[in-house]
Order: sequence, then C-alpha cells, then structure tokens
Amino acid sequence: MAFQSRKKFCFFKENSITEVDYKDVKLLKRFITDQGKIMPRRITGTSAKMHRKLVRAIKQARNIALMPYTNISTES
Amino acid sequence: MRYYESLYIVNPNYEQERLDEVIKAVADKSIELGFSIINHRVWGKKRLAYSIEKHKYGSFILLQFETESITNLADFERFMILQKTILRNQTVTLSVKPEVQIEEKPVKSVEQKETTEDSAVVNETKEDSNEETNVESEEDSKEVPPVENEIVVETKDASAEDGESEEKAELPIEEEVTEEVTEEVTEEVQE
Repeated sequence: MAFQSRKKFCFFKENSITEVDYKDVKLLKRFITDQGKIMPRRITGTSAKMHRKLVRAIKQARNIALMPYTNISTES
Repeated sequence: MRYYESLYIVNPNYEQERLDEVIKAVADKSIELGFSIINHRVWGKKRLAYSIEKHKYGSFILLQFETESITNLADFERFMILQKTILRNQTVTLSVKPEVQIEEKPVKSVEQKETTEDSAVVNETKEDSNEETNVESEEDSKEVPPVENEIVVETKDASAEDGESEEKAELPIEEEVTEEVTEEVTEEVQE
C-alpha cells in the first residue's frame, strides 16, 4: 500500500492574500519553526512569489523585535 | 508620491506626557522634512521578542506618511537613530496608500472627564446644601431604610421564582400580615 502525501497548497492563494504585512505576527508565526527559523516552501507549499514576500516580512518583523531571531536563548 | 511607514519603539517606562513629547518631536521633524503625515498613532505597549537595551517591553508607535524626495528619508533615518528615547525604528515602503484612521478614544476620554467634572460639581453643591441645613441630612438618613426594604422585597421575589416551595412558605406570612392589618382596622373602627 503506497503512502500518499497530503497535497500541498499555497496558504496565501487559498485565502486570496496578495500582500504580507510584517505587523501581522499571528500570520507570520505559521511559517516559522519552534526554533524561529523560516520554514522552506517545499514544506509549507507557498508559491515562490508569496514566499519571497513572506521572507521579507518575517525579516522586517525580526528587525523591529516583533518576532525572534531564535528561540533557543529565550527558552533557557 | 510614495507612501512610507515608520514603526518605532519608545522606552516603555515613559509616562504619557513624555511619550507625547517624543511623538511631537518626531512629527515636527517629519513636517520639517516635508513629509505629509497620514497616520501617527500609538500602536500599544507590547512585549519584545528579544530584549533591546535590557528592555523587555516597548511602546510601539506607527507613523505613516507620504513624500516625494528620497534624500529626506536618510535625514529622517539619521534623526531617529540619534534619538536616545527611541530604542529601535524601521521605515518601510507601502505599495498602497494607507487608510486614514480616526482615533475615537481621546474624544471619549474628554467626554468622560467632562461628565466626571459635572458630577463633582453636583457633589459639591450637595455638600454645601447639607452643611447649610442639618435637617435635610436627617431626612435623607430617614429616607434610606425604605430603599433597603425594597431591595429585600425584590430579592425575596427573585428567590420565590426559583422554587415553588418558597412561594408556599411566603404565602402564610402574607396572610398573617393581612390578618394583622384587618385587626388593626377593626380596632380603630371600634374606638
């Protein structure tokens, strides 16, 4: 019996989101790991265009201290 | 015209007056540089994802403006960095013109202040009237107990609605009261 993986889809295309706001931390947290790393699009399934916007938004949020660069130091 | 958005973090320990001073300084500088401000509001006090200058919290302030010249943006960036009160700032471009957000909270607070002032005036007038005539205060003290009785009656009614047994218990009391009243009336008639 062959293993069938769940079909991936672009979250932004499904919800018809065209721009990613760096202030929307609740949305951005969906696309980072527990460590705070940006998840690759081969896992999240986002389109290349939206992934570029997402990465920029996450980095802007990190710069203004809305999101962590890493969660390793804060957990300890 | 290009639209920009500047988000900056101010020291969280500052009081509202000092925070307003910082906001005013940034607004004055941005007007001096020829920016036309669209929105300038306090986003709120939030917990930082990592500590900046040993601060775990920060007051976030959002400034949205439009300008044509890019050279003035560098001056604005330098001004923001040199401010000791501002912990961190970031200016980004906006693709769409932001909507003008009208702040309703200050208006409400002003109204509340006015109402509180009016109530204070009313209280003062009441105090004056009480000082002038002690008789009135005695009358007020007499008037207070009936209100308490009313409340007791209401609570009894509310408790009666909960159970039928309580209603049955109350019914004899009411009958006794009516009997007493009728007896008093008959005595008066006899006299």
